[in-house]
Order: sequence, then C-alpha cells, then structure tokens
Amino acid sequence: MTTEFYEGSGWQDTSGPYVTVPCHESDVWPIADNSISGTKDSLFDANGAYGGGHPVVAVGGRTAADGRPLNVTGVVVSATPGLTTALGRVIINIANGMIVHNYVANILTYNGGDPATFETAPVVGQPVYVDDGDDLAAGVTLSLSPLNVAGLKNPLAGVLWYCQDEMADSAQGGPNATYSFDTSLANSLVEQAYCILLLNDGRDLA
Amino acid sequence: MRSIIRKMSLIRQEQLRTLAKANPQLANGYNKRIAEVDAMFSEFNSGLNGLSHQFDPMPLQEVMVSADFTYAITEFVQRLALDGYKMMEFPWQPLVKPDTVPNYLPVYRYQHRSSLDDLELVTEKERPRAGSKDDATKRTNQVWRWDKEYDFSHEALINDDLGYFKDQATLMGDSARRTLDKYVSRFYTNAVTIARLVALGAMYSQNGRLTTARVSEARMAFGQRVDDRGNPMEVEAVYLVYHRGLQDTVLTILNSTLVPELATNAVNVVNFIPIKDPYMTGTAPNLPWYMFADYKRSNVTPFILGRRQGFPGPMILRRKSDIESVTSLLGPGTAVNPVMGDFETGNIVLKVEDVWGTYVDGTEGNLFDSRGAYYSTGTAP
Repeated sequence: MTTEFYEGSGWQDTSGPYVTVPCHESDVWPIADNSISGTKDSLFDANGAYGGGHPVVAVGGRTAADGRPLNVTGVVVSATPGLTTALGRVIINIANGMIVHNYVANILTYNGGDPATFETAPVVGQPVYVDDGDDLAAGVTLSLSPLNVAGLKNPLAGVLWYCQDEMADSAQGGPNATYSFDTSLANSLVEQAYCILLLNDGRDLA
Repeated sequence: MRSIIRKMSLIRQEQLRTLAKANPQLANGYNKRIAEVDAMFSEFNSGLNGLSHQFDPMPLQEVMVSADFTYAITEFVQRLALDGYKMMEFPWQPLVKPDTVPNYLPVYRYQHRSSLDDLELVTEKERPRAGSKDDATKRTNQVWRWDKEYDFSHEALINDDLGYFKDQATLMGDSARRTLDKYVSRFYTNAVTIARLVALGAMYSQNGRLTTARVSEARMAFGQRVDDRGNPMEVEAVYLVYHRGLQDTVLTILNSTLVPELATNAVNVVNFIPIKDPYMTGTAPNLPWYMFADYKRSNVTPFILGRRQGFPGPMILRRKSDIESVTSLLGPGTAVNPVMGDFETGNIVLKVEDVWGTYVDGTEGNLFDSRGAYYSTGTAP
C-alpha cells in the first residue's frame, strides 16, 4: 500500500523511446483530486514544487461521453507548477515501447463497488490499465482490470514486461540463473512494482 | 549622545541667565542653578568616559542582533557533498587467465591434457605395439557487451551546485570494474561450478570450516592431481580465496609457526597466497573457501576471462550533441558545450560499456579446468 507515486531515478527500465507532450495537471488522471477517491498522491509537494513522482497516467476525459477509454496514456516525466495546481504543466512520455517501473494492483474485476477477483498468476504481456478506482492506494494508478469500480472502461496503459534484471543471463555468466518475473501473487489485493511496456495503441483496440 | 546633552545643558544655562538678568533680585538663586546644571553635565560627561563609579562601566551603544534580520541573517545555507564510501576491491587477476578474442563469436581453445603411452617391454624379435594420443580438450570462449546508460536532463546538470555529478564518470568506471569483479566471483560461486567440484569428490571438495589441517588437505589433494591418463601433474594450490568473514582465520593460519588449532608442537607448513573475495556470500560460521592453482606456474587454468581485441577495459561514452551554435541562418556553426544536450529536449546521455566473457558450460560451470580448483562449503565444524 504505497501512498506515493513511484519515484526516484530508477523509474526507467529503458532509456527511451521518448515522445513527450505537455499537459495541464487538471487533464491528467488519476492524480490528486482527479480520481474517484479524490485523494491520490499529488505531482506537487507541500511547497508546490514537483515531487518527483512518475506515475503512469491517462490524459483527457474520465467519462465515456468524453471519449474514455480512448485516452492518451503515458508516464509522467516531469512537472512544473503553475499559478494554480490545476495549471501545473505536466510532461508525459507517450511513446510506444518505453519500459518503466510502476506499481500495479492485481485487481481483475470489480463487483458492487469493491474488487471482486484478483490476479494470482500474472504473466508477461498481460494488459495493464490506468484505473482511477478508489480501492487502489494513493500511489497506485494501474491495475489489471479493464473496467473501473464504476463499470467504466479503463484506458490501456501497456502490458506487464520483464525488467532488465529479471531476465536470465547466466548463460553469459550473468547473475540471473532464471528469470525472476513475479508470477505468483496472493489471492487478495496486492500492489507491487512491475515493469510495464507502455503502449499507446489502446485506442485502436478499444 | 554627549553632544546633545551638552547642547541641552547650555540651552538651560542660557535660559537661567536670561531669567537672572530679568530678575536681578533673584540672580544669586539663578546663578546657583546655572552652576548645578553645569555640574550635572560634567558628572554625566565623566560617566560617559567611564571615570565615575556612579555609571555602568559598559559604554552606551545601540545593538542590532541577528534575530533582528529574519531573512538577511538568520537563514544560513551551506550545502556540501561529502565523499562517498570507499569500496572493497577484489584482486582476482591471478586466478584468471586472460584471453583475447577477435569478435563476439565463440572461439575455441584446445589443450593437451594427457601424456603419451608408457613404453612397454619388447622381447627379442618382438615388434613394439602402436602408441596412441588422446584428442585435445575443447573449450569455448565468447565475449559479450555489458552496458549501463545514464540519461540526465540539461537542467539537472546545471542545477548541480554541489558537484554531485562531477565524479559521475569515475563512478561509472568503478561500476564497470565492480561488475567484472562480481562476474569473476561467480565463476566459482555459481551452483553449476560448485556442483561440478562436489561431484568430482574428495580431491576437489569438502565441507570443513577453514583450518590449517583443511588447507593442508586441499594442498595435498592438489599434490595428487593426475592428467587424463593418470600421470602425476605438477600443480600446487597457490591461492586461497575466502569469505571476508574469515580474514582473521586466514591471518592466523598464515602467521603461526605452529599449527594454531593443535596443542602439540606440530609445525605449521601450509603456505598460500590469500585473496579476499568481497562478493562471496555465507553466514558465519559457515563460510566457504576455495583454493586455486596458479596457471602461470602449472598451465592448469581454473578460469579464463575473455576480452575483445581492441577493447581492453571499460569505455565511457557520451551521445554526441546534435546541436551547434550559429549567428545566422546560413552561416557556419560552432560546437557548443556538451552540457547543452540534444536538440530535442536537452538530454545528456552517457553510457559505460565493457566487453568480457568466459567459458560457460552446463556441466562444468565456468571451470575451464577443474583440476585447478578446490572448494569447501565451510559448514562442518
């Protein structure tokens, strides 16, 4: 249960590709009050400065009428405060193929306003969605559920992928005898860091 | 302060003189008052000079203290970057025979590991039988690239007033060295290598904790090595590689004239060159140790480390900036400081790269020649 977005200089697993776009904070979700809980972690700290979080987010409408789930998704690279929090400028990498570390909740489905089923055996390539549900901790923006807690379609963020140090390299004398991608989770809400191969092709698939 | 009081005193005296002139019948009284006023100033003046015990010995002064300046004085900012830790080094070079390969493809090494037939008795008119020669032992070696990339924003480097990144290149070089150190350590600590030595039996492995007697067992095991045809080899256990938790045990064994574990007067005859491996894992008191041959003395090569020709050590590389400074649209450009980064976003990208490899086998592990190695789990008391 992390209350802070993934941060620190190790958030990237690949150095690219990069296609960055600027957005206003108010158009990015689920962050701060732009979420069902209204209490997600903020990109800005108590002094109004960028806090260093690198969540995977969606941009644009949060309702089906506004185009959800055909949103652009990507990972926050940096942010600059504006006169108001809502006018803060957020730089998002929307490139296909970037691999980033981020927290993912293993929720597969919701029922009656609560998580109903959980992924216990995640696999490489499993779709990951931007989920604005209030069952996710304040620092978590991703789940494995294609629908959010209110039944709205979640935008596709990417797929679970190997981190570089999870791949076997012992045949070359490297340290990893086997691949260590975590394929076994508890049958309850688990939020843990995974590598995610970001894709922005969700709009084609929706 | 003194001047003001003096002027006030003179003014009062002048007022009294004016009154004395206007009222001659009271002149004596006024003159007395004038003298009193003058005396009062004189006393005050003496006090200012610190000549009178009737005044505070500290001279009067106006004092502005630090707290009067909330922003200008009371906030003092000093930021310093302190030196990082000193890291333990691993002098593995004597354990590993260096090899150079031309490219990234596997190369093959062949070693003669058996002697020829012994001679046999030939009686009168008997023809000698044909001799034979064993095939060579084949080993492969292949190198791979080992990289790590670091991306910085232009702003991050410019904002670095601490010089936090100034030794980044040094640290990247250290990182390459440390990775290679770990790589070499894995030659003998990986499970396949250990399983191979254990499977070869008591002449190649044991479970005992490090003692003089066990070092002696290992040395004598080396002294009984034979080639592929069972002929005695000239090979010696030269290097003792140990977990860093065994440091004092090693020093005790090396520096004792008598066997340190025995109450008798048995002479300590073991000798070796100790090499501390900081990356070997273990929990005290069950700490592993190894002994290895010196490939230079015996041609028994426990391990091999390949490097690509023309790439003898790590290189720190920077993506060349794709921008230049110009003064006119069509004029010539000049190179700019690399800290300006790339044209698109001002990124500065560095990479440290090294190329190395070794013999990797599903049965032998990394043992280029198992005859040059000996292993102990270090578990048995």
